[in-house]
Amino acid sequence: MRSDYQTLTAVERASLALRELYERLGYRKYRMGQFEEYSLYMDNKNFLSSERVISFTDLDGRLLALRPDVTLSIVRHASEQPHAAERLYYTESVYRPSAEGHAFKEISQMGIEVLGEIDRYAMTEVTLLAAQSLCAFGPKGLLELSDLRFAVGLFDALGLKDGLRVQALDALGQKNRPALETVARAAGLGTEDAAALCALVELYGPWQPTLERARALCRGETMAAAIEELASVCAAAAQGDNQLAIDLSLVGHTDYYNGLLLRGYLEGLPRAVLVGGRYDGILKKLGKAGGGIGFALDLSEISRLPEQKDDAALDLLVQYTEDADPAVVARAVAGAARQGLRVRALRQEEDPGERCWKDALLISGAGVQRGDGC
Amino acid sequence: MSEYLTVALPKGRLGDKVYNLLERVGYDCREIREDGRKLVFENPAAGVRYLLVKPSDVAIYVEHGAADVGIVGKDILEENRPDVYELLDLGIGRCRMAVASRSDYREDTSRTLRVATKFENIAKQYYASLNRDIEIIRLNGSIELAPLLGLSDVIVDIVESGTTIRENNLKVFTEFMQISARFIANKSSFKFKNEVITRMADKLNGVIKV
Repeated sequence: MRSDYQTLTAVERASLALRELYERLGYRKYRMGQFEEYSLYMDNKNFLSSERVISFTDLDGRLLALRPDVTLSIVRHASEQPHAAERLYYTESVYRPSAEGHAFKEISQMGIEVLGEIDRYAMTEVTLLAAQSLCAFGPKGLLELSDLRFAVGLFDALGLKDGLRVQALDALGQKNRPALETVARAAGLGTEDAAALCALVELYGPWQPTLERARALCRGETMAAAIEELASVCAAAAQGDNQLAIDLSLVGHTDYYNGLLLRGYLEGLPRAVLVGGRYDGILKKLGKAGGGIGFALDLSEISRLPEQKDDAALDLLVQYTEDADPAVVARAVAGAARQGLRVRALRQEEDPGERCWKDALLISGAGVQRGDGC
Repeated sequence: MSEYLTVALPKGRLGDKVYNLLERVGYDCREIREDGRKLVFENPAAGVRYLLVKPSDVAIYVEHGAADVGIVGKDILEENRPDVYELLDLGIGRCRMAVASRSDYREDTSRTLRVATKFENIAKQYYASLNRDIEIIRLNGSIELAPLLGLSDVIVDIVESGTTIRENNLKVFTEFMQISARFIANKSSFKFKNEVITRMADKLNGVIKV
């Protein structure tokens, strides 16, 4: 017997399980309006991965957009909680340009946001939920953590100027050591400083030894604070099946994030399926108090995971002849469906295609006969 | 996910240099050299599977996870900006991105410059850095013909020895980008197959001369 729940895809089942998990921890579902005012994105385009947004004029003359980002909308509209952190989760679509298809694509996202006073516990909770969310989708997952303040702190200590900073961030994102060496030469760094800059690309791996190596590179309080915070969050979040790693070359969108960064991968999928981190700058820009942290899961990407399902298989194939009584056929189909079976009625001469079936019935004017499975 | 490390390799001129390099570090490529139409080759002893693809497609295979790692020219990476890790400069397949035109060409800075190229993004980026107004004429091959026939004022293209340029009565005016083959990795594969990718990168790093 098959329950309705079992007919869902693996991603749909995992999404339901995550809703339950988030709600158990006090997260409220946040349902957004279908459209957002275009000005929100134009005033804050530094926070977007692309300035291209689908816009249109509504019947009342307002310029609206299909949202390219959920967090901006939530931060703008969520009510402020003095001396508290608002916990929200969502399942929404975003619309972004696809570089390859030269067209916009709809991306289904699920995520959480914590807004307000962000303490160490809130950061740990979000990290734990990120790791647990990855586990919910089945294959081996890996959550990588970084802190933007580490790389930026080193750039400050080395006196890297704006143009070279951009090049260094670009090179870091690609783990491109030769490009970092070029930046070091252009900045006129000495041997030791150049080595420190290039060492950033090597700072990845299991969280404890990697943070130990990173400590040796710290120059100043900002970098040390980043490492101390990462160690604390990792120690608390490394539990159960959670797979955590550190990658300090992960720098993300530097206008968007300002501290802890999260990236989640699932084995078998080519790109990150979870993206998140600390984004206090967005709240400040939108005139809200406190900070923000959250993550988004790319459900569209996750749904590419190969699924082990037998949706081609029928439990019962009901074949009927031309002289069969439709009422008898309908009763047989309805009865099987009531038992939770997957059933299909076909004319006897109709090709069932590639579908398999476990049992079969042949209904004719003469009555009902039991057939064989395929 | 496959136990093999899947490696996307370029066909053609760069390919021969890449196969030599891989063989030097213990990844046998003999089967690839044998003339044939096969596109997938397995080397169970080394635990690798090679995909033989068009040079401009290597980064696409890697970015989309069809290959874990690949070897591709820097020109392709600069032009298409795939979201991959660029782990090593292999120092082979060296050439330059250059601006060339007829040897008697003199630029008229009062007019929009017509640039023929197959590297549209690289050309746009280069001329934007000079704040020069240009019109791109996108071609897929025989770029050298464009200034000779008046289709464009200049071309932006790869120059290796300079022979093709000279034989077509053209002259290189500026070289603005050094190009060589790069060892790239898919970001997710780098996490889940880190040990084998790092081993290959370390071996390659041991023999390259940059």
